[in-house]
Order: sequence, then C-alpha cells, then structure tokens
Amino acid sequence: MHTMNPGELERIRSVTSNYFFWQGLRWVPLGLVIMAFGLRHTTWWPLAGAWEEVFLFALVVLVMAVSPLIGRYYRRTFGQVRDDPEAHRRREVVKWFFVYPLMTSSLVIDLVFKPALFVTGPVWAGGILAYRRSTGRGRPHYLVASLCMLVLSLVQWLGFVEPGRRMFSVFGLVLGAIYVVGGLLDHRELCQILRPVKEGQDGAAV
Amino acid sequence: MEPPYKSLAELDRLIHEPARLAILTALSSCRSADFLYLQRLTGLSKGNLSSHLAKLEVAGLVTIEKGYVAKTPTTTLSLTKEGRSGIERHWKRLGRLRAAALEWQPES
Repeated sequence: MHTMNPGELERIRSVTSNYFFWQGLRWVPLGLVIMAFGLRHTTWWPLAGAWEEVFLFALVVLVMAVSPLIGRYYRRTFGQVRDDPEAHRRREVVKWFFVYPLMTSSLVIDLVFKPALFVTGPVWAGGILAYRRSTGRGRPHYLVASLCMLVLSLVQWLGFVEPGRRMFSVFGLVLGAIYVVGGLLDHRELCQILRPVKEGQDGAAV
Repeated sequence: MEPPYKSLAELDRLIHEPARLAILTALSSCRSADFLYLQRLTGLSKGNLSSHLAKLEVAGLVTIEKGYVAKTPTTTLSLTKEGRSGIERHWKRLGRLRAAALEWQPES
C-alpha cells in the first residue's frame, strides 16, 4: 500500500461517514417517478384516463419493490457500514428544521403566488449544494445540478415557460433527471473509490 | 527550535502504517464496518487485511465480531474506546507536526 496523503484519508472519512448517500443507484428509481409526474402535465404524456393512474401506481409500487433490492446489492458488492448518528446530529437538525421547510415554502410560494421569478429554483439550488457539502463533498456533478436549478428561474423569468403547472412540469422533469443522472454518477464515483480487489494483488486504496 | 522531523519518531508506528491508518480512519467515521467494505476501501487482499486487523485487535484498538446475516458469514469491525482515542490523538499529533513543519526555518 502506498503512503497516504491527507486528501485520501479525508476522502476515506467522508465516504465512510456518508456511505448511504453515496449509494447513487438508490436515487434512480425515485428520479424516474418524479420525471413521470413531471411529464404527466405536458403534451408528451402518452397515457390518459385510467391507464395513466394504473401506470403511475405501478411505477410507485415498482420503486418501492426495487429499493430494498438495491440496498442488498450494495451490501453484497461493497460491504456494509453502520452509521454513527451522533456524528450527523447537526446535519439532521439543519435539514429538518431549516432546509426542508425552506424548500417546501418555495414550492408553496411558486404554486400559490406564481411570482415572476421561479423562487424554487435558487432555493433548491442552495439545497442541493447543502446536500453535497453535508454528505461528504466530492461528486462535482451536484454543482452542475445546482446550476440547472438556477437556470430554471431564468427560464420562467424570461418568459419561456409560464408560471404555475407548466413550470412545475419542467421542474419535475429537471429534478427527476438530476436524481437519475446524479444517482448514476454517485454510483460511478463510489465504484472508483471502493474498487474490487483481486486476490494476490494489494492495490492502492482510494 | 527542534526540527519537527525529530518528532516523527514519536508517532505510533502501529497506527501510522498506511494500511492501518486507513482502516482506523474509516472505522473512526462510523460505528462499525464489515470486512468487505474495508477490503474495498483499502485495496488490500483478504490475507493482508486480516493480518493488519489481527495486529490492531491484539493492540486493543479494534474489536472483530464474526456472525451471520441471512446465512451469510460476516465479519464486523469496530473501534474500541482506546482505538477511538488513539486515532484522534494520532491525528492531532500529525496536525501539530504539520503546523510545526510549516513554521520551521533551518538554522543558517
């Protein structure tokens, strides 16, 4: 094993401490559901009536069925880590008492008051950055995701999409795509950190 | 002022060995981790990782628990109280060494 530098050790700490959040495949099914709900109110949506309800219901059931299987995949392929809840107490308090209420409020403001600027965009952009920072950093794709959220505000402000339901459809599509693409990239980065080991060859860590 | 590199000799070699430092750093960031996770994280072979863990266990820094999860044998590792305080002390020592090295000027 080669000599480790502080950056590598910090990465070990970050990934181990936030292992659950780096298991990106967990977010992909949820992203697909969000995209489906976003697509629902657009002209691209192919289903109508009862078929629409059946499809969406089946999608939600599928996501719930797949979720534990993904968890088992990570356990069997990459191993298991038991979290230390005390280490993340501050994050949980900030998340549940500040960030989530702020993000929910921005949705309500845009839905009810329909301001010229899509408030949800910058608020959720900040939420994404806070998420990245509080779950071990790395994963530069979340900086791009945050930028996409900011761009959404401009899209409405410049008149490309009208406020209200249509804007929320676009938001749902973008948010769902962030979950899907972000999740796949999280998984890719985790695979690069937790590499398989061939017996007889001691590779370098991280 | 004593050159900081003389303080390097005070570092605990058991903890400072790169593989064991990685193992202890990982375990200090969680309650416990299994063998597979540590193997993937460190890139060590099973034999090599087992050897390092055995040394850490003998030194009283980690506990090794063998059990089963749904009929699959698992080995779970966690730091002891001494292990946690040991790695924290080691990091503080490294921090002090680094600060000293940045400030140190050779005598002309």
